[in-house]
Amino acid sequence: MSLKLLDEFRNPELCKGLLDKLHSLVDREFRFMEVCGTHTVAIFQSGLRSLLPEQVVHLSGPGCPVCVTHESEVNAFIDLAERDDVIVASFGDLMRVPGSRGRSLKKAQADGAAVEVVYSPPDALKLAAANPGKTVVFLGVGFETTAPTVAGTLLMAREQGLKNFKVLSFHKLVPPALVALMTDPGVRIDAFLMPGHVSAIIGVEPYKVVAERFGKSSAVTGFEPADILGALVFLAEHWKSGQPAAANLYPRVVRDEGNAKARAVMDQVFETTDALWRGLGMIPRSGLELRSEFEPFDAKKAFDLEIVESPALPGCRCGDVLKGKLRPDQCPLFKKACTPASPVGPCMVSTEGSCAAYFKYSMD
Amino acid sequence: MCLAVPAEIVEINNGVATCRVGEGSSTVNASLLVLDEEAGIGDYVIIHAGFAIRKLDPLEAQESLQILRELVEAAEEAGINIDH
Ligand code: SF4
Repeated sequence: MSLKLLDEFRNPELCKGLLDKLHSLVDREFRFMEVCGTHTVAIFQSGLRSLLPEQVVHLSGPGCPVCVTHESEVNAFIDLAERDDVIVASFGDLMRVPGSRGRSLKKAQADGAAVEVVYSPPDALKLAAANPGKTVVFLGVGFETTAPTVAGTLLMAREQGLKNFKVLSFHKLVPPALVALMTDPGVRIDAFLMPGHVSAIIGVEPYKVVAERFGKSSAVTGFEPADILGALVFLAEHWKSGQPAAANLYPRVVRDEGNAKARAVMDQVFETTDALWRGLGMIPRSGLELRSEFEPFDAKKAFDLEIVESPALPGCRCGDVLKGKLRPDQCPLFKKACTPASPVGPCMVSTEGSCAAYFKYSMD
Repeated sequence: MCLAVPAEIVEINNGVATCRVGEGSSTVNASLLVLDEEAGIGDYVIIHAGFAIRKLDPLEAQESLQILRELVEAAEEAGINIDH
């Protein structure tokens, strides 16, 4: 097989046809939200955003892992990094995210803290093996896609008997955040594009609640223009007919039932717990912590970390942006005090953040 | 964090696949630990944070394309053609 087949999902004629269909369907404001940083980037980068009918409003939800990492959690990362006996291993996009004290891992690193950027959690294992005199703490952020990879890495660590490897888990779960969003009376969303890769793990079942309880349709889809347009046509059709549904329009990568093995690995290592989301606050059972069986690998236990809820960054409206209540360019700091070179909030830090995407692709 | 494009498996060693990304020669390693299906050389996989999470199913890709094309054809037949 060649990937030529996938090029067809970018076929201009196909996309134009889908776009025409969408135009014919939407006769009043239609607000859709994507819940995946990769969709945010895909919609901007492909130029799709400027081609959508005027009445179609694109909102970026809490789908960028770095953006929803709470200030207090970032504080905990930095506190750990500043210990002499610790090397912190982190995904690169977490480096510049500010905590509530305005500090970031990057700044801590510049001040001498041992912070290593890794591409994958197993790289952190290698770091632990190479530094037996230190404790290597992997910063676990990300959703259901990342959590199984971190869980798998912990199983490897246990097998290898690596005692100086720990995980600080701030993993978060997408479905509880959707429910929290929908129960917020100020939120107006007509339909959801669901994340492609999170769904590869959890399947479609967890999204049915959005249709059944809140009457909104959702579609799991891929990242090519025809994927996104096809999903929008589906969503607009169901929105118009008043028949909410949850569809899997990405079957080349997502099976309806998800990936049971990845879920089993995740469940073996983690259990659900309440979690703090930046902008959304505390959401019950929306996070993952290590099961007691894995306590020797739990950085929270090993360093007695207490996560105290710290106040939001002054002036930053990331929370409202993540809930679709505010467009990034409506934030008073946007492009003024807050730019990608000198970000105030996480939505401007991560390349997947909607403020950063707005900044990069806005034409004015 | 996510690689949106599938990568082709060129080698498998001890449960770790070496995968080619795009047309070039750059490769990434991906553990097969959480994959719940058989994968072999020549298969395309979706990789996330160093782990393969799903094999790409080309038949499903073809079917989705077919559905999208039919949707467009049906719309054209119904006379939808808007200038924008
Ligand atoms: S523009 Fe900056 S300050 Fe405003 S919401 Fe976005 S990240 Fe926060």
